[in-house]
Formats: sequence, structure tokens, C-alpha cells
Amino acid sequence: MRFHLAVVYGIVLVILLIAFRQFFVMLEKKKQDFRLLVVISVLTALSVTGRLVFAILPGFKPVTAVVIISGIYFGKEAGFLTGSLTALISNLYFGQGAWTPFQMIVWGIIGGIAGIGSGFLRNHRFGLYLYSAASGAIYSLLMDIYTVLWIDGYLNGSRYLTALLTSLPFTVIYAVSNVIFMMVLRKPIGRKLMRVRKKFGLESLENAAQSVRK
Amino acid sequence: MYNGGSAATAAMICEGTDMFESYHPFVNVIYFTGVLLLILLCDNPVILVLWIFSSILFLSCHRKKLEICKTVLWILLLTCGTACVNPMISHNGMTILFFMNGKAVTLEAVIYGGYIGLLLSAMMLWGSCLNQVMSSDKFIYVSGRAMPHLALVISMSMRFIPLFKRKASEIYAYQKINMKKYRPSYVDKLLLGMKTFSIVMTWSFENALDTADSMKSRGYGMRKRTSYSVYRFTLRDAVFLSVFLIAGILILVLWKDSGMNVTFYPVFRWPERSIGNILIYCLCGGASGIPWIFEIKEKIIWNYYRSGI
Repeated sequence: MRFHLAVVYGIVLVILLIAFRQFFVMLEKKKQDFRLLVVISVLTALSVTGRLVFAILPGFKPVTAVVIISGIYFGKEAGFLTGSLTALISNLYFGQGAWTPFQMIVWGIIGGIAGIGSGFLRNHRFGLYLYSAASGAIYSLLMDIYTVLWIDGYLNGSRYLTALLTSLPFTVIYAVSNVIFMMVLRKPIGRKLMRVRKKFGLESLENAAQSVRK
Repeated sequence: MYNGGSAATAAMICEGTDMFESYHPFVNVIYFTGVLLLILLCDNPVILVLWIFSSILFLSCHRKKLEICKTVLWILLLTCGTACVNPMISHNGMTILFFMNGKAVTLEAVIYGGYIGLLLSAMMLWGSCLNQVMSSDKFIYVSGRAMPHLALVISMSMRFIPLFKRKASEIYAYQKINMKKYRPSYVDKLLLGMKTFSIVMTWSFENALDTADSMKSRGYGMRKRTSYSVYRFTLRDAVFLSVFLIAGILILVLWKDSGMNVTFYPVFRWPERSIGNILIYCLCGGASGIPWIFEIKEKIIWNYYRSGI
């Protein structure tokens, strides 16, 4: 019996639930700013459309770049939500499966980290490119844990290494494509998001929560 | 796969029928979760083949014959592939077939590899069954019951995707005329694509935030939202759900000390045959067969009525 896998599944689902809950509770507190919800759905739709448009090229997708950008400009919760919802919704087109919760949490984590380091990533161009390349590696590292758990039912070191080696070409493609898309998208999207934030008076959720506390 | 609208009508059409798709979304979700759990927890090749067989039968009610043949071929290829690869990684097992590069290739590793291939294909097949049954409409309904905000975000983004695509092709057409070039080069096209993307983005944010303001002015978020849905939880759903849950729990309880788990290492050992084990096989077969049994029953009734005309 694959108890380890079942336990890991349980943990992943609980984390996802808590994260979503947390986000919506924060949203409730700051009453009028459910407009952030709309912004997130626009960003999600953009990244899903990107994944659909680039469906023919395996691994070469703008999703991670969009997720990172949304994390940077609208906070870690927004980044997490955009990432995980992109996985959920685009899998309605690409096919749902046992991997969906894992994909959700991995893209969510990538967006969340981008949100946490937003101050640094916004000002340092090369740091941002480095993080985009690294997030390709993060994606492979975490998804291969899922693969190994799936096959063996427990975490097997040698098999994990083999899985990493076999997915190495994909990891490279992820990293390169993330950096390319980030180079192309960083400036125009960043400028537009800043403009949207200014024009519609949106703040990232952290600031919102702080202003509530005051 | 975007079938929000048609799913609702489909649900109304198969109202009176007994197809698995016509059951309440919660029943569908619980059924598929249970199936995936059972596939993961029960280590037995016979049961695995039962699951695969049922899912292929269900899919063959919905897909073309050629597609099904391709799927079967693909399963066989995957199984052979993993059966070949696993002995290279794992050298456990007592029965040594031959030595390669000084390392033993064992029969057990080959068998386990094949088993994993079957497991992977079972998961994928049941994933496509899930896609067949769970339309996006049902999906939004289920998530909306748990978290209304989440359902709002999901349904908004699903609405934005086709909208963006349409708007993008409109803007692309305008911009192409504006470029005043009879035959644009690849660089021109690329720049045009980027420009289109940028315009679509600006437009979509403006549009979406206008929508948000309009929603706010109509009182969104003032109190709990209610929403219309075509799904009703009827007695039929309750009966189905309780039967399935009882069967699932029975399988797990019986499984616990039946010795049904196949051991692969160090020696491949088949579980012994007993009445309890046969009961488990029957239960698993029944539970896995529900979707296609319903499907075929409906087909028979339909043909019967048609022959009466």
C-alpha cells in the first residue's frame, strides 16, 4: 500500500485549502478590494492563454513568467493564487489527473516566493532572471518528488536521481524559456501593472492588511 | 473542452436517464476520488487490470474506435517501456535472468516495471474518464459550494480566455491594416504579435476593472451570494453514494488482513485464493464498472425503444 503517497496527498490538499482560505479571509477583512480578485483572474486567464498558445512547444511556456510577475506586483498571496489557479484551469484543457494538486502547489510556491522577494526582484533585473531560471529547476525538483512517490510509494534516492536526470532536458527548456519570456514580458507587463495599481488604487494584500491594522 | 453552456443543457437532457454523467456533481467527484484512492492503495495486478478494462469500456462508449485502439497500443508500449527500464535502476530480486555490465537483471524487477506501467496507464485512463464526466460547469459548481470567491475567480478567468482570444484576433486584424505593408516579414509579424499582446493586456485590465466597479456598485460582497444551478441532489444520488461508500470501505477493511497485496521483492508471490479474496475482486470489479454499466444499460434501452418505433 502506498501510504506515503496518500499522506503526501493529504498534506498537499490541506496546504492548498489553507492557502486559499487565508487569501479569501484577508480579502473579506479589506472589504472593498475584491477588485484584486478580478486582477488575479485576468492574470490567470493570460497565463492560461499563454499555455494554450504555446501548447505545440513542449516545456516552452510563458506561465511561470506571468506567475512570477503577478507575485511581484500583487503580493505573495496573489502570486500563489495565480499559479495554482493557472494549473487548475489550464488542466481543464490539457487533462486533469493525479498531478493537478502537485502542479497547483508547485506553481503556487513559485509565485509565492516571487511575492516574498518582491522588493528585491523588482529592482534587480539580473536577480529576477536568475530567479526565473531557478524556478524552472524548482518546478522539476518538486514535480520529480511526485513522480518518485508515485512510482515507488516512498521517496527513493536513486530513483529520484534518475528521474531528475531523465527530466534534465525539460528542466533546461523550462529555465531558458522562463528567462526569455521574462526578458520580453518584464518591462511591458510591469509598467502596465504599475499603471493599473495606480489608476485603480490597488495595493498588494500585505499593504492592505497593514492599513487595516492601522 | 470549454463546455460551460452545453453542459447545463446536457444535464437537462439526461435528466430522466440513468447515465453516470447525469448524477449530482458531488457524487461524481466522490466516486472519482474514491477510485483514484483505491487504485493507489491496492497493490494487485488483477485488480489493476480490472480498473483499466472498465475505464477503456467507459471511454469506448464516448470516443471513436481508432482512438481506443491507439490508447490500448499506447498502454502496451508504456508497460513494455517501464518493464525494460526498471531492471536497469533496481537490482533487487532473487531470480536472475542475465548479467548486464556486471549487474544482475532480475525477473522481479521486470515484473515490477510492467506493474508500474499499468499503474501509470490506469491513472491516466481514469483521468480522462474524469475529464469526460466532469464538465467545467460541474467543476465550478463543486468549487463554488466550498468557496464562493474561488468559484468566482475560476469562472471569470474561464470566461476571459475565449474573450481575450477573440479580442486579440480583432486587434491583430486592425493593426495589420494599419501597418500598410502588403507582405509583412516574420520580424514584422513578431513585432505585431507583441504589440497585439500589449494592447490586449491593457484592454483586458481596463475592461475587467470596469466590470469589478460595476459589480461593486450593484452590491457584490454585501452579503452571501446565491447562485442558480441545474443540479439537484435526489434520492438516486443518495442511494448511489451510500452504496459506493459502503463498497469502498468494505474493500479497504477486507483488504487489511487478506494478504491480497502482491509482494514483488525478493520473490514475486501471488496472493492465495480464498473466498474473501474473490469477494474483493468482485467488489472492485463492480465499483470500477459502474460508469460503463450505466452507459451500456442506457444504450440497450435506447435501442429497445427505437426498435419499437
